[in-house]
Amino acid sequence: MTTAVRPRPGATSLHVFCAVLLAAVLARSLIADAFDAPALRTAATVFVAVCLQALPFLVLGVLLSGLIAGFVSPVVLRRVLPARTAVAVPVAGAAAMVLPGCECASVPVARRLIGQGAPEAAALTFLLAAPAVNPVVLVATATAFPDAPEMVGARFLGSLTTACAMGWLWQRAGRSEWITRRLAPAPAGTGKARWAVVAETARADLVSAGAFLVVGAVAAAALRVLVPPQWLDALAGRMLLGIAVMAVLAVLLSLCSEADAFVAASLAMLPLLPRLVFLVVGPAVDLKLVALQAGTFGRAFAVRFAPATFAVAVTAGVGAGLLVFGGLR
Amino acid sequence: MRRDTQHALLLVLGGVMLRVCVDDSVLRYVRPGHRWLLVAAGTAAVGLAVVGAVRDLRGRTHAADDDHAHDRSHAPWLLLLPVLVIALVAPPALGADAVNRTSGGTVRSGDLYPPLPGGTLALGLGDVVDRAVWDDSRSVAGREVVVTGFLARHRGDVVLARMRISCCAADARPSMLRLRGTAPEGPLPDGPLPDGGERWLQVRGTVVPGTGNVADRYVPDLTISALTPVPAPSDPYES
Repeated sequence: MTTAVRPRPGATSLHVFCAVLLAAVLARSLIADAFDAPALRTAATVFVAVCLQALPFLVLGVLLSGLIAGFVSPVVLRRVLPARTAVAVPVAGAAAMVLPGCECASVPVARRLIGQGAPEAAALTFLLAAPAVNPVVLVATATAFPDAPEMVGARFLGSLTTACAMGWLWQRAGRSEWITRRLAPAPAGTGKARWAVVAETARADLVSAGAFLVVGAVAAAALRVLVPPQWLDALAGRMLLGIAVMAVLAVLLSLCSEADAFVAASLAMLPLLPRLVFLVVGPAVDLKLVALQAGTFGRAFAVRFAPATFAVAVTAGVGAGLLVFGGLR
Repeated sequence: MRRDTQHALLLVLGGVMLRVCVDDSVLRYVRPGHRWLLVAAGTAAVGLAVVGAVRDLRGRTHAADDDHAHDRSHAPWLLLLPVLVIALVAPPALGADAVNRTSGGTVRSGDLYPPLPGGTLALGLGDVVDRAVWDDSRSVAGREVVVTGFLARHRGDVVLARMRISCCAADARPSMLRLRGTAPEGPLPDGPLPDGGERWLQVRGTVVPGTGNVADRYVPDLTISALTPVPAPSDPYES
């Protein structure tokens, strides 16, 4: 922040903002006509739905992030977490079980934890585990698969394994400089100053993370319209192809982790294992999340972390399935 | 981006989140229970914007500042996209087009099918499909039911459909009944209404025993005895 008086530029972003709103209102009927095609309307509905579904969880995430910035100093964090990173990773995975949110909430929280000095490996484990192993998601999975209750255990095992494996992998092979968008630890304040930190942090996080959520929602809506449903029918009874397609589909569809079990359950033509892979991959890596991660941690991070997570999640999903289902099912 | 522009962005974003909750348009996109989360989140977004603006006015921070002088990202402008789509396009609930884009199939959502009363049954479309497909006691086979849904085409058949969502419209899956026979009112209308909306109907008919299995892709048959055009329900989805 600077106190120096700046020369006022001719057009500020606020002028642009007003101009965009005015132009949009004037062109309203043109825009409405453009959305007359049924496919475009379906895509627009899905886009708005993903945004409205995820925004409350994102707001919850940025508020938590603000509270961590305001009240959890690096000193406190170091005292709570085990000193050895290898141990801190599973602890972070277990802590993730109590945040009953979707993946959008965990991204700003994980970034803030890193900013406050938590080991990166532990924060990333939290990032991957929080949307997948919380009670809300597990209950939803049990509801969606009344005929296959073992799905819940398999999902839990697969997701927690993915999260911890990625944490340990980061500890061994990850480099701090890949996370290019760093946060300085929030200035320690007292009393009212703490709440100012909370509000400022939450506001800045919401503006930056919200924009990337929009990118993900656009991608998910476009793919929902572009992926032909016949593809899925062709997979009936094909195990390996089914696993590959469902893993890719989990990335493309970017479903909320509280809802993906119902979609997986509706694909009854597929065996259980590909559907389990869908449930393990989806909350760990999808378009919406990759966009959010690229925005919050930096591109250099996202291009390495997302493919690695994808590979680990597919492996962990198949492994957990073989173990819990007792074979190919 | 200047701080005051960011405040304005959050203000309109929170504004549309609250706006869709005022009437029932929020039900086109998410489950009814999600409305209160949206109200809370919209209020929080507006609150954060107001707090930031008040701090700028009091001189604690500077309205014309970027948050990060080194980070001149244009990404936050994307937040205007959902605002504009909701305010200007107001996309309708998923309908016949979305039915065409799914491969069908139905979820077994429970094992408990409580006994049904005698006479004509007023059930949700999804309930009828569930019972026809999954209930081992075949509790709706041959029974007369009254169901509400919209007309769609699925694999060449005319079906009465209703979307079912568990979180938001992105996870919507259709429940479908294949319409058989003709109504006394005449042939079935086809295609969307002139204004592009779905053709919502209340249909009285009999569930054909022995349908709703793997051979017909879990779409049971319904023999029509009467149909009435109805306005779209306020909650277009079933859960």
